[in-house]
Amino acid sequence: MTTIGVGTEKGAFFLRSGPSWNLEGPALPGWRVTTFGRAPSGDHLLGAASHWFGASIQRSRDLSSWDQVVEGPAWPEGGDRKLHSVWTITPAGSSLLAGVDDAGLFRSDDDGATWRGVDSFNEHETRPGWIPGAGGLAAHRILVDPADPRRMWVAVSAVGVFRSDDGGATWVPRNDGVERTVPDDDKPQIGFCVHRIVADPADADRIWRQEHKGVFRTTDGGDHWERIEEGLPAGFGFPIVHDAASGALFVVPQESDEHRMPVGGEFRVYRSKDGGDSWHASGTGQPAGKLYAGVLRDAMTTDGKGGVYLGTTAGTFHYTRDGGDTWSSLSHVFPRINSVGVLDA
Amino acid sequence: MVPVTVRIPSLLAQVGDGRTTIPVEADTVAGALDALFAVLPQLRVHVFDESGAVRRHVAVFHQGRSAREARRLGAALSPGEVVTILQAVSGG
Repeated sequence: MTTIGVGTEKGAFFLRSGPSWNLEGPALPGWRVTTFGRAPSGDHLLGAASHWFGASIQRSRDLSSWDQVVEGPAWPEGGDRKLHSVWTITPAGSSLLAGVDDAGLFRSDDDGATWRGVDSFNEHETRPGWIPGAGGLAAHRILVDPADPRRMWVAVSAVGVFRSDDGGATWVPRNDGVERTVPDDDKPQIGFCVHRIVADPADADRIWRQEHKGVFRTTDGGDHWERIEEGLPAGFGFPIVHDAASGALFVVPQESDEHRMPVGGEFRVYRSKDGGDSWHASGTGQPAGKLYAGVLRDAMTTDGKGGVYLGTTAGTFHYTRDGGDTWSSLSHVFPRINSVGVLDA
Repeated sequence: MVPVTVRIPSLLAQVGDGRTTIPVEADTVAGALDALFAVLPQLRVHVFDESGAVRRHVAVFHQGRSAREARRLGAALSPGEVVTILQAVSGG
């Protein structure tokens, strides 16, 4: 059975596979659910945020009853940084890393019970120059090399990608070859508005990147990036995912950073079967009518078995279970979807 | 200290223990909030922000008046009074 978490502006919903999808929830109704994660013990975690009441991490054993992590990520009292939301909760060896807005990293070594800031990243020499983008200033994506967990990549919106080769002791911006979004020549190391990165599960140095300014690829861990947009109707978009079963990549192009809608209202998931060399609108069954909605960066994911699941800002939900050959849409419509996670597969 | 009641909105009850009415004992509005956090420590970050002040879009009422400013957080309580935490009217 596959359980999919759908994190929305108004709570978390859960889809359980069967003859048809069984819908459960909402959990934490009214809370903006920003991401899903898993503790080493197997407990489920999610990021919950509120316009009024700030952000926290919530924990559950059964996806039904949720308890707040009391000693969650928090910026020091009296400082000028505020915790607006938790954007990612990522395993790193036996630890957990959380990326948050205002941008920073927090680490837990006790199954997610207590968290402390990663000062080497949070006080990086470039930090005074970090400027929020339209979506905030978020450390939203963390990649860890499964063969060497000392090697990590962190993506920060409107700033760029940083790599550590020493377990997080030091971090170096790795964005050469990417077009800058904030072209401030006084800050040449930053100003890259990365939206999402995803690594080849068989080769951590092979990373694909949906950027504000287009789609890029590196084969050397981020030392050099090249543009890969052949066949795409637009370079702008938010999510990019990789299906381990087929090796295919998926993106959802949007028309320019000013409009942020599918080109001509033609909502299409584009697929690359050749590592990003070329792209084509994937399969059959994509929405027949116009759909003027986007897909946010954490709102598309894969299950490693040919399943690709995505939710839109209009609350519609679409999926394929055969690597993008055929697509289906749920008849349910959710609140704005922030995050989609495969919770077990 | 005197017995009083703290009322919280349903959003906070969801991340609390489900109750929207919590009896506590306290001398002041601030003391009532501290007593609330002694029972439900996870609520502190949702009421106060990193500056140490009540969050900008959170309202605290006592006896029909806003009590979110530091001066009124020190207001004395009488037995049976109610301290209410609300989300401010904002957003859609």
